[in-house]
Amino acid sequence: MDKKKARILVADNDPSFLYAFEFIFGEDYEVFQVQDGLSARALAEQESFDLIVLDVMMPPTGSDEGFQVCEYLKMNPKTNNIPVIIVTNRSEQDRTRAMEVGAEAYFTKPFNQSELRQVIENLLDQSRK
Amino acid sequence: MIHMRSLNIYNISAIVCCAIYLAFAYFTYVKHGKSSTIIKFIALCIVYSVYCFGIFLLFAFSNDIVSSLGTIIHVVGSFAPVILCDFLLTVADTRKKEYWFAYIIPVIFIFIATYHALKNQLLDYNNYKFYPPNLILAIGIPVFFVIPIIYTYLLYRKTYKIINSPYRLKFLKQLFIGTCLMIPAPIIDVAFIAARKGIFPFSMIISVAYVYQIMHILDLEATNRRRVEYVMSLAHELKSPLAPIQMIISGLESKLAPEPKTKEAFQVISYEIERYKNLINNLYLMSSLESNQPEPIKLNKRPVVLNNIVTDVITLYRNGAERKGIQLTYQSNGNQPTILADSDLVRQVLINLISNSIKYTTSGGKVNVNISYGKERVYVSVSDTGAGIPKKDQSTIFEQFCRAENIKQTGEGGAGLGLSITKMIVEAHGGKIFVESKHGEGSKFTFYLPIEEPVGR
Repeated sequence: MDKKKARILVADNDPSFLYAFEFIFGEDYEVFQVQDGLSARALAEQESFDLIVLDVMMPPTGSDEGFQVCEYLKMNPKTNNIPVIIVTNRSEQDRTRAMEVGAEAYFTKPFNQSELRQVIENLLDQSRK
Repeated sequence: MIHMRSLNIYNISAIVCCAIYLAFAYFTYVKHGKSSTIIKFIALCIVYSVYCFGIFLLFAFSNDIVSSLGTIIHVVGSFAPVILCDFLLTVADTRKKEYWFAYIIPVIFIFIATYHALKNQLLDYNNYKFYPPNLILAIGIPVFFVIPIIYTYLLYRKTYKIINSPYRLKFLKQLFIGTCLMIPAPIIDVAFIAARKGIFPFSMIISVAYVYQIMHILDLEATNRRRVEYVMSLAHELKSPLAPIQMIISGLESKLAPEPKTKEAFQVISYEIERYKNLINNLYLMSSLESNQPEPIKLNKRPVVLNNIVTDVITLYRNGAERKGIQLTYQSNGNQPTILADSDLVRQVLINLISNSIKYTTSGGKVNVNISYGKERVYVSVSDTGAGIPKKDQSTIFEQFCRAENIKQTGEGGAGLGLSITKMIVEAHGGKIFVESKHGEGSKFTFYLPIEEPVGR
């Protein structure tokens, strides 16, 4: 039985990071890429995704766009049941904020591949139930 | 014919002050060039000199036209305190709306000057009267005392956070001296007025000199701060390409399932990236700690198991150590409790100590990490059989940019940042770090952290 690949939306203004993510996870999941917060919000509402990965620092606001998008998604009935992972170039300082806005997980770059894979699988399993 | 009324010391002093302010303005421009702060300061000096010139015209000539001209110029010059106020607030980097009340003082000053000019009291030198019950003067003169105190307070309030030591002490000293000098100055001014001798703008000279000093220190501090912030943002920029590089390398490693030779090549690349990342982390930490002063290091304490951090770092360096022919070992006692600490910073401490030991130990040597849990403290020691540290260097190596003398013989590069950051992090957690070493026989770095139990869930 061929399981349908889970759809993951990744938002990050660094195209190299988007490439790296697709490179590592593109075989097992269907990866969709956007480069800013506005596109992330729009696409998340239009299409259906199983998981959303958000970078913190990206346009249009720059310094905490990822948190704002997460808040928005969690308050929007169309998207609030999609698990969100927040990734950041900065260090542990943003972890509390990530929890406050309702993100399910938080990773600092560069992340440990197997750890992130495990977390993605867990979150996908949980939302399938 | 324009007649000089009398040239006494007070008239002359007025014209001398005028010249002094102009000289001040000129030399400041020559020495410091053109920044907006400097331009404001020069404008201040020029207005003060205009004020003095007005006084000179007022008292030195008996011609009514000249005296009137003097009055007008004098009144224009009385705007000087407004510029002074504006200048101080700009330099203190406040939003002027917050301190709008500070402008009331110079405005009062303008009213006093204008009032007297209109009342012709200043025009008639011989009949100048100082009326104690005069309401305007009664309000105006205390204001002269209050000006320096309020400005000093405002400046201090707004700037103490942005001033780093070593400038902080200098700055406070200047504020204090300036305030002390500015208070007697108006007393002298008023005494001259009361003695009907004319106006000796003593206080203004003092205030200008005082402002000049403050400005100089703030300028120095601002340059220093800009440099530190530049380094910080540079370090952040230098770090960002590393994330995708490391991710793709690890992706390649797992996808290509490479044969041993290629695998080793990947490992060397990963190791070098780690070294690079470590250097940038140290640079970033150093500048962010510097720019954070005088506030202490901000720790993001989380429940961590110290052993996990140590095993993590050892895994990072195991291959590199092997390639260099160094035996890397590790022991721990106790049941590995969870303690509260900043995991990123503690990780950096271990990276610095372990990478140093590997760096300064030659092939065939050993590096050992030991964790020992006590009742209230956990001791971590990193020892090696490397080059060792001469006794005289054992205290200085923890200072920024300092490296031990014998390091050069090892042929290893280094920026001298690692140990100073390590010490800052350990001490911020409430711990201490020590070194035991003998030149040529190896070193042992031990630090302890207080065991803080995380509050139960």
